[in-house]
Amino acid sequence: MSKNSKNKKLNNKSVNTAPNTNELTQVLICMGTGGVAAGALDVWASFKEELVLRNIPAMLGKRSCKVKQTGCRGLCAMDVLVDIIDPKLGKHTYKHVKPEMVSDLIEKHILGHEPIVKWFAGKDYEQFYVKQERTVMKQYGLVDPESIDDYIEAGGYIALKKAFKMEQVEVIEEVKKSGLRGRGGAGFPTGMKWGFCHATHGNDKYIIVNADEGDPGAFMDRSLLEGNPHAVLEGLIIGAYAIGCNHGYFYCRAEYPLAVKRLKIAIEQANEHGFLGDDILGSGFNLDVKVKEGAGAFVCGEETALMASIEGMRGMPRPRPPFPAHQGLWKKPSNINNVETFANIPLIINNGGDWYAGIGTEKSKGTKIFSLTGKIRNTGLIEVPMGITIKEVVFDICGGIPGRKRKFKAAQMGGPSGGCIPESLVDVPIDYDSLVEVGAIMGSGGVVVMDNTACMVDMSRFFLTFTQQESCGKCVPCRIGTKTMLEILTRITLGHGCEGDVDLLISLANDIKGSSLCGLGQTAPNPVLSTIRYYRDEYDAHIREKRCPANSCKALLKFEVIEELCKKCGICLKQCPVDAIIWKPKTKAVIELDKCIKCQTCIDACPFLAIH
Amino acid sequence: MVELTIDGKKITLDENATILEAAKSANIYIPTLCYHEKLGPFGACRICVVEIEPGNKLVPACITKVMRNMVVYTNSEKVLRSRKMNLELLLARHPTDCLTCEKGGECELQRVCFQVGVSKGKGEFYNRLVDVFGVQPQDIRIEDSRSIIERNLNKCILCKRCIRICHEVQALGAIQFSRRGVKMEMGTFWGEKLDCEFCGQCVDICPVGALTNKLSKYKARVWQLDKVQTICSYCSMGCSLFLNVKNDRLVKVHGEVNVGRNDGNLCYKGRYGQLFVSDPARITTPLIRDKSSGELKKATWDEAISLVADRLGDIKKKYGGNSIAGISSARCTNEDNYVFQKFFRAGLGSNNLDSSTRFEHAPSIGVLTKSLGWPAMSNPADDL
Ligand SMILES: Cc1cc2nc3c(=O)[nH]c(=O)nc-3n(C[C@H](O)[C@H](O)[C@H](O)COP(=O)(O)O)c2cc1C
Ligand code: SF4
Ligand code: SF4
Repeated sequence: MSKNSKNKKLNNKSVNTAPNTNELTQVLICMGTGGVAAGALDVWASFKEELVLRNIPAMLGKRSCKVKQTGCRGLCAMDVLVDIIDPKLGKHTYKHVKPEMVSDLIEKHILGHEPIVKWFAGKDYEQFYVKQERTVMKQYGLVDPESIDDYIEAGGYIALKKAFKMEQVEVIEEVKKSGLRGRGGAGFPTGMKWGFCHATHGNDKYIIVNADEGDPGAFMDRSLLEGNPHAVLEGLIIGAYAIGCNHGYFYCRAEYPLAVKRLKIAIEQANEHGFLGDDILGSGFNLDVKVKEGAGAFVCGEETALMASIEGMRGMPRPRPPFPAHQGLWKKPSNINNVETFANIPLIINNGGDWYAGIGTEKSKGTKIFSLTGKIRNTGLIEVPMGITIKEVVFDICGGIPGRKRKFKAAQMGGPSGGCIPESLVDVPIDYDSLVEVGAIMGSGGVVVMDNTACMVDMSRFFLTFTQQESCGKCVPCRIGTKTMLEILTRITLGHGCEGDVDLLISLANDIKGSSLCGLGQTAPNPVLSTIRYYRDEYDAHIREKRCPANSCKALLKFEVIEELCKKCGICLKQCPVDAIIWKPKTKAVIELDKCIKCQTCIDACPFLAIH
Repeated sequence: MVELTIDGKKITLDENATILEAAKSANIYIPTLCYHEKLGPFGACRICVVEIEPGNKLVPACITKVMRNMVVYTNSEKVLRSRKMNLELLLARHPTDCLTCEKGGECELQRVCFQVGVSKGKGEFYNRLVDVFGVQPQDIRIEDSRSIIERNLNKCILCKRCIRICHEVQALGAIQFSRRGVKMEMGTFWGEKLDCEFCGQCVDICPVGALTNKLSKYKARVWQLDKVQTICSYCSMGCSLFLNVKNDRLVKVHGEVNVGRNDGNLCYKGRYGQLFVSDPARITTPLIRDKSSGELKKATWDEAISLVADRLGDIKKKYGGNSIAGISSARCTNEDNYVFQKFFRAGLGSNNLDSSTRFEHAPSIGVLTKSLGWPAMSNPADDL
């Protein structure tokens, strides 16, 4: 219908205006999970359709426009992000691209060479990259994750070839020199771990990539696998060679279907290119790699539970020692590392351990990828050098906290096993040891940002709900202890807490940490301990005054307008679903409690936090 | 060999030993729940935690190997605190209906709580957990199937001993954990009713009253029972078992670790098939048929034996020993059977002997001879 006729018209026009037949204009569409969730598939289809409809390739006699899917760029809050790289004009990035914008983009920018300024991703987008140091994620957004040629073109598998010319111990030495520490949570020195497993006998060893990523709010590993699976695979092959493992596994969450698909494609392509399989690169070294999909249990990220799961058993941790390096998968020596750990390996081999050790702080080397979620302007993925401060991450890179009266309150680092960094400590550098000192951990890199409307008691209740459910149930302190702590926290948020509760929480927490079998139980009480450490007054307000200072715990809310704070704007009235608010211009709002259904909409809506 | 110190005592023993074994060798008691000497390392209940130096860490004694110059405290303040808390947590969700519980008196949870000094209402945390927070004992359905095993999961402390013995010793795997966290329970495939061999190994090893034997329910308390060690008469394995006798009546049967070739393991026949001995319908004296009325009448052993001796003597005299045949029972001991055949061959002069064992096992002997070339087991009994 009209679209077609419009196209025809445009077609004619485009014939006249199409210049530059020799060079390619590239359209890069973010097809990471964030992008796909925001509708990247539709945008992709529209580009393809429009380009075909307009017959651009035929018209120009040569493909003038290459549309590429790319992995996650990081700035998920602005998805779908589309780069248009014109050989003359350079790169322009558009945010929030929708299918209906595609024909204009093609007509004006690609064919007309006039970028559409109003759709630019803008200052925030540029700011987002200024303080980042993208080494691991450098190729993300540039290479097509489903094409090994793209990866090789971008310098992929050079490190592999280099490593195969080195002795096994030389590779391990290089990794040791780099100071790389495991990115899966505990931060164990990777080179040392490889050394342990290398020292065991035989070639019947396993190397495993831990891609279980179960922390709520974390999606670093997912993006790495979806955005550049070959980089992780290359790291794995180098590791396998260095340690002497002939069998490899990717243990990937089944909830990451795109990652699984791209991994499988990558493995197949690597096999075809002789980077996997028998006699890799003529070295006589063999490696077969399989993908095992997990069944969605957080505890299966714990290394011994993960191995049990691969073996087809219930994912339950077992005591260590024996450590995996001696008795791991199928009782064979095994080495397990996180996705991001492996993704760092090709960089280290290419540039040398010393180069890598030059980035970061004295004891925490290199860069770290974080996923930021919560009350923050630019949610997404960032890669920063170790030692950067929380303040720089939250305010400079991610644009701070949205909302006029909203202030940064705390950042939860390390997910359900970590702790919170309060506002007073925003200048703490992000490195393994400084974070532990203030009661948090580096964890795998999930950061949840909270503003002043977040109740810290409720926040610790949230994380404990998660760990309590995910406890494998094996040991008493973790299984019953965390449930008991959760019950206490729930009562506090319901206003039934009593004097002594906080002390009881602390003592339970310490005992659970001290006597649980695996890392899950040993760290589960951390969010509670850290919020008590920094926000004990909030706990006391809940218990003694039956009041939630952040106005978040529903059972403790009065649903009243605080007269001194009300600025008479009337926004609450517009939002209230049941018209329970009486307001006229220039008067203060009043809530009619008999109509109010306690949905909290007005509390969230009031820009002045004047309802409690 | 390594030397270590436990509670001030110097102990020297094999380096593969665990702290628990070391403590046992020095007569130092460390309470345990999920540990069982027959089963592999598990380390779940955390009741056996001890404090070790260097590091002042709490470690479970049942799975931690001894190390040279290790210093262990089994009763430090830190240890007692953690042990008590874990016991109280367990107890908080455990229905303490010990008055009517089958395991009362032999319950390991009861014993450990007694020894550590923890009880409902008296614990350091417990008062608060129950009175203030109203923590309720778990409430899961009790399996009401027609099986001889009663599963009351409310009492289950999830030590996994039942599952472990079913997998590790029986190699059957009829049961497994299902679900996670506090919702975890010992379950069957798809939550079906227990449908297995019913060897009852899991019942024997259950430390609490979660798995009990329905046949002996409410019949006796453990201290009312005399335990008589004997050999199972069902098959030629000769498993040692203990008859639990109250007022001269057999109530139940159990096996004990380290006793007999079977090391305490029993099959369904050995464990549940013995109760006939106390059955009122069982014949307990010889019976002689009255010639005139044709009825069987009670007799003394002397009467019966002299009757049999007379008749056998007559027959042998008249028709020769070869005219007599004897069938013995697999339920008799080897010694009995030996004497029986000796009596036939040497006493009566007859080789016409058979046994119920042969009826039962003739087919298997045939198959074994054909396939292995050897008509019996190819391994020693200890390997089983
Ligand atoms: C409960 C729990 C969950 C875990 N989940 C993950 C995970 O999702 N991904 C991961 O890489 N490591 C996870 N770990 C850490 C792993 O056990 C292991 O330490 C890590 O994979 C080692 O790799 P690295 O040395 O590269 O850090 C988890 C640990 C625990 C205790
Ligand atoms: S600490 Fe928790 S998750 Fe870990 S083994 Fe014990 S019960 Fe399972
Ligand atoms: S009765 Fe025997 S087979 Fe059945 S569950 Fe128990 S141990 Fe396993």
